[in-house]
Amino acid sequence: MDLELNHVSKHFGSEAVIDDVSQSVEAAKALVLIGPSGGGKSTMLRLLAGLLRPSAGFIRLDGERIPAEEEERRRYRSRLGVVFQSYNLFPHLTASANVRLPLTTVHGESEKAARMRAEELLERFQLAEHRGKKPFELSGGQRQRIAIARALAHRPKLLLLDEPSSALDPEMTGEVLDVISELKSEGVDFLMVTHEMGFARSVADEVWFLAGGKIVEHGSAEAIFESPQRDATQRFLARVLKY
Amino acid sequence: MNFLGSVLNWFAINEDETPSRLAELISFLLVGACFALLLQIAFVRLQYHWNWEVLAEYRALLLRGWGLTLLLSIGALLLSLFFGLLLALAGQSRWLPLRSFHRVVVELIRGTPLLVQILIFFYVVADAYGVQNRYLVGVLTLALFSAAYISEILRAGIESVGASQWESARAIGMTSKQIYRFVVFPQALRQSLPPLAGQFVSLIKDSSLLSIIGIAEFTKNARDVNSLTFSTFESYLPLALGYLLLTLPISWWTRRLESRVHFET
Repeated sequence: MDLELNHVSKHFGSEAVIDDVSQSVEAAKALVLIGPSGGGKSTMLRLLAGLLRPSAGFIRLDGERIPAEEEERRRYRSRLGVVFQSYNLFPHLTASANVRLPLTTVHGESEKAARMRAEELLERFQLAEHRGKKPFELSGGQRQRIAIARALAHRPKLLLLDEPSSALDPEMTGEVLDVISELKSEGVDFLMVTHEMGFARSVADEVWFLAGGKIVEHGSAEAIFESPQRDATQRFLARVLKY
Repeated sequence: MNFLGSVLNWFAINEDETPSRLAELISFLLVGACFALLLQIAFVRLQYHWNWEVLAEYRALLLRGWGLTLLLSIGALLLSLFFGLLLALAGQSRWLPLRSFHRVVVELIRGTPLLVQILIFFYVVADAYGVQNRYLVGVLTLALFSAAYISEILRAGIESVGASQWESARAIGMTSKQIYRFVVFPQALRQSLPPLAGQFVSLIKDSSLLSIIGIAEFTKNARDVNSLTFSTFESYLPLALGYLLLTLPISWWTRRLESRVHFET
């Protein structure tokens, strides 16, 4: 992905959650956002996903400016895939129906084609036997893998993941992170907000460190984790890597 | 004493237990017998002489009334669902006058008795606009009255669907219409079913008030039978049973529907 942020701000009331950020990256395969809670990571992800509008500035993804008009924004969103921290599956639908819904409603696929695609994804995430279960019958790790399957169903050009493992225990975190690193090796571009520093380091080819609504430091995973330049980054990494 | 204790205990339900079919049945029969006994004592004390023959004589009148009540209720029920949905959507609208409209209608209807509304609609509104058909006025009034409550029930259901569901549906790229249809309504309906059933039951019972504008529905006909024959109980007991015949199936049906659409959030 090519990504360009041009003087992007996002205000909630009088508070600037993203504060005049200009940043770009080219041909990134895996962009990871790290930083303290409340630093603006999730807001940044929602701006890039087209779920929030910037209060000022604009964003370009692969040379295309994220549109301002709502119907165009909807089409923009439909080309991406988003995975949330709390899964956000549709509780009234089965695992399989969760994966099929975007295909049949947004992408105009037939019920049969959608069923085949859902089956293919559930199979590959070892969820085939759970196809008929509703989310409340599944574990957190299974739910999140279904959420990933749902986000991948229409072969998005970019997958956005907002702390996908934060609600999971270590074993389930492993399940989910395994899936994400497999995706990377298959060439699915993604942008991820995470607190899993070890994982960030192993998959990211670009890391942005966000704090106080600004990108304080950015660079390759190696540069950020081996030799952070800024005090804030050093302090943050010292804190989170202490135990 | 010990025997009585163990009998009473047999009917008790502990946590995490579901009562056995048999215990449930016997317990219903017991309660039914108690009520029957109370009624029987009342009749004995009143030294009431039953005269069921009149019922046979006026059977057709009662049946016609029951049939009309059924028709009026079905008509008003369907219309009230439709109006209620429109009102609920108006209340959620991005356009302010529609929201105000929703607020005003709901407050006016909920703040005044149905009887008054029926009188005003029939003698003022319908008369002024030249609507002659009292059945039409009756069904419309009933439907509007119920719609105010239904819109609030649906609104609560719609609002119970959390912001995260909206966000994930928007992220998928669904249109607002699709979000309502595939994500919000199915979940809202589950929340709304029990209060909706209650509202439908109320609507059927409230249809008895239409007798005030001379609609020959069930209650009016039962009162006619009473005044023609002076057989109060023989007219009103079937009346009560007739309403139960309409309202109980609704309760059963919703309970079945609820278990079918079961999911946890």
